[in-house]
Amino acid sequence: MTSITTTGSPIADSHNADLPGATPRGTTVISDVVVAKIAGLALRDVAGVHAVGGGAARALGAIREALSSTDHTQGISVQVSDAKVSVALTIVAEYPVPLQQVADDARAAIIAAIETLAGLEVTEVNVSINDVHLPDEADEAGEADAR
Amino acid sequence: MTGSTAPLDPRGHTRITDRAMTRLVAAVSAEALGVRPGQVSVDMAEAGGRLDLTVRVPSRALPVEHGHTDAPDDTVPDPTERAQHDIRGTVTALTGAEIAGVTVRLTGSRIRLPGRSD
Repeated sequence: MTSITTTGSPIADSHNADLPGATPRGTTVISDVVVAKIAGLALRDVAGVHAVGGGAARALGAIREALSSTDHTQGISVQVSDAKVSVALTIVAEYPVPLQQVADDARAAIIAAIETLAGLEVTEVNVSINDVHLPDEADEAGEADAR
Repeated sequence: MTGSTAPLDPRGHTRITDRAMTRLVAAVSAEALGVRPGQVSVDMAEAGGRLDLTVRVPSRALPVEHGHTDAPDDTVPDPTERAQHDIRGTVTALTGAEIAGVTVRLTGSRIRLPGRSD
């Protein structure tokens, strides 16, 4: 049994030893939602990501945004276990950005954000590119309606 | 050092759904053929890990310079041939997928059968 009976000395020792986890006083729990939110916010700066989430998620997201409560975790699912995180992500890419590049950039941004802000190790970020957004899509639809 | 941004230790995999792939191929094909993406239909088949693409476009949608060359001889290069090369190159560059082949089919030619009165 590992007894963590704290006396005065271990705390004093902890100042000298380079072991930050040697004498933890309390635990820090970062919930999945927080990690997902960090990931979602990190994606805002990634070029080539048009939207995050699948069709249904984005439809719900549009309603949410109308109610001015944007869900930053949309399209992102996170599993945290033993300070290790695995992330699954669904995005819509912009055309004509190379898809592998978008996925790599998104992955790098998420890993950097989670490891920096949450201090958790990211084991994997699986990216699913669900759709491609064509820039002139809206124009084309308008044109078709006009006929 | 090269300026490559590819991660040395890739963490996780990337999946491109059929829908995304189809739309991308349609957009690339439309650009190559000079039509709108909505006018192109795309069929994909996988053969041994490589993609076989079939692109269908109505021939009347093609811009004049692409087709309708009424030259009687066979020396005029097929207007879809250059498009096939463009499509293959661009799709590979954008998706990283290996393309087995690209088929461009012109559709919508009017065929009038004689002797139909009704």
